[in-house]
Amino acid sequence: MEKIKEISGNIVDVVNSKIYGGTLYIENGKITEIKQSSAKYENYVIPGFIDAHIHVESSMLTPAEFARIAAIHGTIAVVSDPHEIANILGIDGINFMLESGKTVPIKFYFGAPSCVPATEFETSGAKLDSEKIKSLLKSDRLKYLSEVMNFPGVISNDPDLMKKVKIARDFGKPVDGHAPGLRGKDLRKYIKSGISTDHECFSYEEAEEKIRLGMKILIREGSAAKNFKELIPLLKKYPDKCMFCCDDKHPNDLLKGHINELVKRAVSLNYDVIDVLKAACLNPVLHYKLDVGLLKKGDSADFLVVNNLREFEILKTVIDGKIVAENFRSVSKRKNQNY
Amino acid sequence: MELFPTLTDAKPAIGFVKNFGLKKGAIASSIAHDSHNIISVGTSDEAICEAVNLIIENRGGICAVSGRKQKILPLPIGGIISNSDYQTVAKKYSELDRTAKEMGSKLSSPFMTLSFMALLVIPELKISDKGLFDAEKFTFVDLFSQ
Repeated sequence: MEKIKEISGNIVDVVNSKIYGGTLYIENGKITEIKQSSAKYENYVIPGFIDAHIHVESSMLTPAEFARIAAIHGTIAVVSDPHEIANILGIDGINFMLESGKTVPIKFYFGAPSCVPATEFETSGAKLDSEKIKSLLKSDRLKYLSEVMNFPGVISNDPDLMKKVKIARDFGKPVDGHAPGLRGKDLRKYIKSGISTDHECFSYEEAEEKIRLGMKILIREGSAAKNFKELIPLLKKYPDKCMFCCDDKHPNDLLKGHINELVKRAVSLNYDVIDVLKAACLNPVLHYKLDVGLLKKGDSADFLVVNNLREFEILKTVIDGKIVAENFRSVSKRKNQNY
Repeated sequence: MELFPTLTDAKPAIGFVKNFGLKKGAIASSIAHDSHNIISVGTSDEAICEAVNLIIENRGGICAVSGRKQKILPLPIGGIISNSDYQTVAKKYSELDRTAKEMGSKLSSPFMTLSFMALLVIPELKISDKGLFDAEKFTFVDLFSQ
């Protein structure tokens, strides 16, 4: 993969909400210097897109192969819940996802699945109790406790489930939610337990109630559930509280686009481009404490070069100073995958 | 509709499904949320049996069988992930989607609906390896007593 030493363009600083002409200088995968300039540039340099909640398994691809196509769409990081493979293979399945994800430049941040099995009314291949969750979250490799789907269990104080939530909080790791339609008193109890996100809202009012009680809302638009239309108005009032996610993305849909599609759609609806990029690039980095660069001096050189801020054609995807995808093609070679 | 446990030797769980739309053959999948046993919908026991056997031979996958025709996207990693490249997987998935629709399914995404028929946390009537399940009452129900 070709290393990039400098890049010039209209640099979009999402953290400080400004756009300026200039050049980034890169050494050893980091931005070492930024020089502003009054020259006119055609292209824009923006932070990379992040899917804040996806089950990579839904693409039917290994993480390494998922990465090749996602990079073409400008995805540089994914917050991923290995819930599906964990239901079948337990910790071995999670290790497989971690190992495969490590072989490619895209930054995978996996969580420890909180609800394996999903219910007691079926036979899954594995069971992850609070002891196993502890062994997983102890390691740096797992970044958060993923979606607490068993919201009735939180409300009724299910002992092992509450232990899992406490373990994550003791390690200082975020706990993701999954509480479709939960409102009022039960919602307050759910949030008070330490669960800080939700990606299951289907109405604006529900999402707004959750935000006011302190949650971040993931605006989801994937192959299965689609909530973009109802939830995108949140961006006007709560640009610091929203992220984008797909949850599930089937292989045929992933071929067409990823988070870039949601960015384009939001901008075409006249949402402020900086607010849109906060949801797509900045907010997941802050919430999950990801080591993803945001175009500041000293950051990892993670960014996209795009033609403009309407069409968002991804001309280059750069991760840790290396060109990962260019002109709609993946630069990284397919890994030999014999399992 | 039948759900075949992949982990125990138990008999398959059986149910009937309306409006799936298949006029011939059967489709099957080893993606069945969230426990991922093998699930199949078909117009005859023989077709269902053929579809499920095709999945077992391939160590997982999604498939459609109709008459003499068999199509499969093998998913040998845990029965849910392919070891092929993204172009191949996307192409085969689209072909299977088209095939299921040619077999009569009017659903917008027949394989997705199939895989969610086993997701017990979403109402209304679902199927697990232990039987037919009412997701609203959160309890099992008998196939013939309703």
